[in-house]
Amino acid sequence: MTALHEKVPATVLTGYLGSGKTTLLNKILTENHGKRIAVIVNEFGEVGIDHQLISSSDEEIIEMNNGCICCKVRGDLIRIVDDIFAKQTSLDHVLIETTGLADPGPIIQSFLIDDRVCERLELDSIVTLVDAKHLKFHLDSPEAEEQIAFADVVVINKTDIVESDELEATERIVRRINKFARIYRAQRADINIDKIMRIRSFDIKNILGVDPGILEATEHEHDTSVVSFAISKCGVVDGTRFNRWIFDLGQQYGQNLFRIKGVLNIDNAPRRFVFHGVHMTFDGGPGKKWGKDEIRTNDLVVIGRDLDKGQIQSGLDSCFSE
Amino acid sequence: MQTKFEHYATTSMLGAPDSPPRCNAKLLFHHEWEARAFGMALALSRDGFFEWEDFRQALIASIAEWEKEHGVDRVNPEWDYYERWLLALERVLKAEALITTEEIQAALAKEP
Amino acid sequence: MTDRFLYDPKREALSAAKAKALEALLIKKGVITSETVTKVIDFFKTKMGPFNGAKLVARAWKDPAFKKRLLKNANSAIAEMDFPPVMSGAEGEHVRVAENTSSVHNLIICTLCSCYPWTLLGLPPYWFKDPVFRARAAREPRKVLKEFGFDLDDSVEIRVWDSSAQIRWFVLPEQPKGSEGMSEADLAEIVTPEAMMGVARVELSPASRGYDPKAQGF
Repeated sequence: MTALHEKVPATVLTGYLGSGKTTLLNKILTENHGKRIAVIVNEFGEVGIDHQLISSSDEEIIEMNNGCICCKVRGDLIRIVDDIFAKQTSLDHVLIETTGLADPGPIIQSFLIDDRVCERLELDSIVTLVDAKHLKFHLDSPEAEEQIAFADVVVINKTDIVESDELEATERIVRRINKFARIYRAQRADINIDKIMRIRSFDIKNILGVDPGILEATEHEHDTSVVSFAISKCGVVDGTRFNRWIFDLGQQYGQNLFRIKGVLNIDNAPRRFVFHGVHMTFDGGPGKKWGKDEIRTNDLVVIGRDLDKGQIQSGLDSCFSE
Repeated sequence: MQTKFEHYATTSMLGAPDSPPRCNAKLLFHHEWEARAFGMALALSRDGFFEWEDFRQALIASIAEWEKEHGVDRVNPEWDYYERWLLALERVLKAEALITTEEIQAALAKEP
Repeated sequence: MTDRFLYDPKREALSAAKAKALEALLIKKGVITSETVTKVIDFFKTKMGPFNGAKLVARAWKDPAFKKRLLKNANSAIAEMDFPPVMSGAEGEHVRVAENTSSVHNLIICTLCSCYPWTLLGLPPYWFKDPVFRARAAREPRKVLKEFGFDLDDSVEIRVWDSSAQIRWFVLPEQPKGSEGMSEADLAEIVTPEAMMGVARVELSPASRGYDPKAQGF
């Protein structure tokens, strides 16, 4: 009989070409940070590993001198996860790099749905690397936007090669696309890995509410169909109506609904109800207890493409029971 | 989504080592005290007195203690799931300072 | 039930006394009320069980027009029934019903425990969430059903339905022969959750519902 076993946290790393992913992965696989991390990539070439730093390797798994491993996934995340856990028993973290995938949605959903993945791993965060200088040139690409829109953490990299006003402009663009991601700045991908690992972005107990700063409007720097907005309203939400509404919302928007997070006062229960979703997959459960005289605010944050904020707002309104 | 705490708490245990006895798609209680113990743990967690995961950890530990002594044998007539549950509940209540050992002893002493 | 007599009655009494003491103390301290625990138990007695699904099946058997409505639009047929509010429409998701006939047999599997139509079928059995069961049921349903004691003729088509978070399936089993004279209430008594999942037939005798005094979860 074992206790509820600890799952290994997993980070999904995305970023457009040139954002510095290779540099970051390389650092993780070579520096002596003291953590055992499994990095999963499509091709070993993406990481640029120095063969002198390899401890051992076979076709699919390379062991590095610093105790980390690099694994090649051939389309089947589940199989490589099985292979990794067959050999490694003490991993601290897994990092999944998503080259060639515009929409990390399917990978994220497999964490929420696929038993074999979520038995071993728990999704920790989605981290997106952004090129401080060149982001503005990539905005025509929906992939570049979506990578930012899906993120819990955005690392604006290459800050050393831009002027401060360019950097501010880039940060405004990121904020415009994604109102709730944490933003960090880095040079040559020198982000402290504690800022991008074990941050528990998908732990529903971590969803505490909406930072009021997020609710402030941001200037329109560029044209985009990606919208992110927050809704905040006091009152009591009817559980049954809410469930029906949110599932209909997922059906309505499908792939265009990127992420949704919320803290609600459902049926005036003693505890908050916290939930999050990716596309049509939702997960929710009991959160922290409401304070005795605490004003019960329902908060919702949504990011997606071509979302009708007014319709979503009135849809949520219709779920209120008083 | 499971918006009701009762649903969430019960479902979280299904298929896990601390899964409660069931029969015909319902919870199975042999005695009234088992149902009361179950209801107490659930209500207290639902109302925020302790986290459900903490109760489950206590329950799993309590089951592990039994199994260490008696082995894993759920058909052994000595095995009593809700006795383990009650022990876990008592421990969690004490840990949260909701009840003390002295108070329990005093209450038991009053009973015939 | 005979095994239970081997159990030390003093142990039982101690547990009962302790549970009573704990509850009394908590009520005295105002942590809970005298109603709190009773309400939770009632919820599980009246809401977390297969009763509602069984009632739907029984009504469909007795009332062909209702059956048609149930098969066409389960959610609105469910709304016709006198179920408590939280029990109608399975937490808001869409319910669909697949009918078993002499030529078609339906089997339900689902990806997550939370995809199970609990408001209609109660708590899922431990094996339902098992990925091996799910994989095998999708791949070789006839064989899996046989292992459940369900030997279907090769002429019977088997359809496997995968419940998702959006659509919760359940099976309308075939009415057992000889039950035609039974009342709707009595019919509801013999419908089992296994039958509504498609892994068992409905038997006339409720004793064959598989009550196992040794059943201890898992």
